[in-house]
Amino acid sequence: MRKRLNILILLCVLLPGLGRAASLSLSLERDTASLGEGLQLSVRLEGGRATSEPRIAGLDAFRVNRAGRSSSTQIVGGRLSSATEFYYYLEPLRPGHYALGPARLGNLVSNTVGLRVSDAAEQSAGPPLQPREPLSLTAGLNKTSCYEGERLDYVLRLATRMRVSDLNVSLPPQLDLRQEGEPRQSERDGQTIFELRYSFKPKRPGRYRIAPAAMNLRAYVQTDPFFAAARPVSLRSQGLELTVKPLPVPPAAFSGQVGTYTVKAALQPERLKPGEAATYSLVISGAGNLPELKPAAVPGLKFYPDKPVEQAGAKTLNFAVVAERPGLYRLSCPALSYFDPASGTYKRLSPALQTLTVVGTASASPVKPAPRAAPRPEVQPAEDILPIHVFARKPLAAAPALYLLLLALTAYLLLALLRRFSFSRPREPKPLKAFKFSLKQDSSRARALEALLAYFKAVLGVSVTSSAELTAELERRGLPPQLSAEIAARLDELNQAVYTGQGAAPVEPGLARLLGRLDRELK
Amino acid sequence: MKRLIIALALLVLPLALLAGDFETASQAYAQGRYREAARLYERLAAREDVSADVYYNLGGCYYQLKDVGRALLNYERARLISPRDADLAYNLEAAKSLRRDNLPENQPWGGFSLNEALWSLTLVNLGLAAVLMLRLYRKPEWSAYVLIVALVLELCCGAGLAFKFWQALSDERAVILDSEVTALAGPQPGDTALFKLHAGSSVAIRASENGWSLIEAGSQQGWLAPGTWERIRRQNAKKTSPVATTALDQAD
Repeated sequence: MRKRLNILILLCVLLPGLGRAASLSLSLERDTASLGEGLQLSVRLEGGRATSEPRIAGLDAFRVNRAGRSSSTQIVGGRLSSATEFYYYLEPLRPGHYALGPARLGNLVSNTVGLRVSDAAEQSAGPPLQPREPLSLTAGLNKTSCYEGERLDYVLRLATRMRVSDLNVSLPPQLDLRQEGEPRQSERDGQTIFELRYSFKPKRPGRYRIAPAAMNLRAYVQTDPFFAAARPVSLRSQGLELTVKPLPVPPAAFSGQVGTYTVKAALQPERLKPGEAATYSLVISGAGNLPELKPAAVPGLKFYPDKPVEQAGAKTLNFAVVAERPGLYRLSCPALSYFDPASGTYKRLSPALQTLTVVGTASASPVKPAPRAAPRPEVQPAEDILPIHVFARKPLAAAPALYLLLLALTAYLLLALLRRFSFSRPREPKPLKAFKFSLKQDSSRARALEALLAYFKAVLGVSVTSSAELTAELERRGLPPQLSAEIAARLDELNQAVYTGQGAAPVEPGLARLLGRLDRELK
Repeated sequence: MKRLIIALALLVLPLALLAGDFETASQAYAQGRYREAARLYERLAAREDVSADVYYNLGGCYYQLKDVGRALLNYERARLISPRDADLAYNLEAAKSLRRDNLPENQPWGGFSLNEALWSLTLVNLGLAAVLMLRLYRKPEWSAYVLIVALVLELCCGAGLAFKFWQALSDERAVILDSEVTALAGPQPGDTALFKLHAGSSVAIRASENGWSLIEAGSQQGWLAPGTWERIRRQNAKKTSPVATTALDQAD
């Protein structure tokens, strides 16, 4: 009774809701978007059951990604209402005005919505975009005007208030950008800032419009207090403008380096004996690609360079200096002609002279560099490679034929070994077979008695030694008395032969046949 | 007896000639006649089963001739045969430092050479065969342990050989030989110039069409005219590299 009442109440609640007319509506997150920017489209079905996906017209100019569906059921004022919502993310492919929809689901037809898609370049030509909540991508240059060959920094910043993942950056194609260091992450005003740093060198003078960078990522939108839905988002930075000025007419010795550099030289110790080593250091610092300097050759001194060390915008070049004979030496390096973009002039990079005093007598032994210094000189073009080999080692010739032969032999041996190996236990020979085999090996009466007793033990399961015991056992098993008597007589005969010293004589034939009869009777 | 002597002489003669050429080339190098030495080494390098020392010395000749591209090409070839040669590693780094382009390199792992892997497997296989043969007739306890070790070694060497074989087959590296080449957008002389490469730059060959090759240099791709580069992996050892011979002739 109670069960029927419950069903009745449920029907009363559900039937009014089911009787309501179904409707389909289409909505768009916003009515404007720029190229490459994603936006959400949703189709809502109210008061009906969705058996299939809706078909939406007018999406030819968009890349469409399905973003799932959600269903909800509510009972308000005793009325049941259910709704299903389908979500799509659209990415415009062409600028223009579009009418999206209608969506169709069965017999239901939705409304249409309008969307204006603007060209991203229209925006990039204007002032930089304001960071749009909750995600924004901005690009920047450290200079808007520079000289050809000068190193510039291009910085891309992603500001977000949401959790993001799977970041994928598309850089402006016309710049040969080189990433500088790892991406950096920081927090500012409740936003997480991801910063990517690149450098490049403009090669030709002119006015450039740098295309916007694009970034695809997944942003996690909190749909309720517990769950977040991942949504693919495409962002574009603003475009940038750059003016590249040509270099003035260069001097003859211009090295091609453009940047701002300083150089410091140091010598430690400044006084030593012949054969001892001092360290001559050159520290070049500044912006741009740091050049490498080499000390000028000085007769009586030998230079052995260490590996250059570059860190924090400074390059350190160390040379072990070994004096061969006493004297006063001046150490310098050939000046490097470069263009300084800060002053707009050509400059020469030359460290201060260092003086080395070598006192004492020249040693007779050949001069060796200090052990700290690299024993092998750094690369001197066409001079200082290691000498050739005067003996040609015979190459390790490949011998596939030998190998195949060996492989075949190994495989054969492996197979031979496996054939001998068996996982099953060797089967015991049948008692009668064993008896016959034993007689075949040795047909003496003593051996025959031994084999016969073994046969009885195997067949009857008990040890019998006398004919009386055997007869009793065979009769107990219901065997014909004649057969039992015959077998017992043979047993007696063998026993007697053995105990009377005639064990070596051959056994009388017919015993095996008799046992064959016994086998059959026992079966 | 006479026939035996003739047969032995025929067998030894090529080896003697080879040694003679190598010695002559080395003498030319020692006397500073690098071009002549390079020509002799090129002749030796055109044969089958070239010693790593021939490529090493040839690389040295080109280095002295300031031909960075060919120096690097031959050093890289020597490294395929003798990957752990310390002299070679040093000279290779020296030659690399003379390159003008600073492209990222895809250097294959070179712990051992393909032939070394093959020989290791052959020797392990020999040991395995010996243990198996022993176990066919006698089964001392120690032989079971030796058999297990030999089987494990066989597996390791087999895997090493397969890896080196795959590495050799998939080695598409090439070295730019001309002092400056322009990579184009297509395999035609009139196509748009994309970027420039200089001697010694290591590139990867991705496709070929009408003699032109699509190369990958760092993150860039472009088409290069034939004869401006050469593969590190030798494809035809029977004849002297035509590019190298032409270059030496032109230098004369």
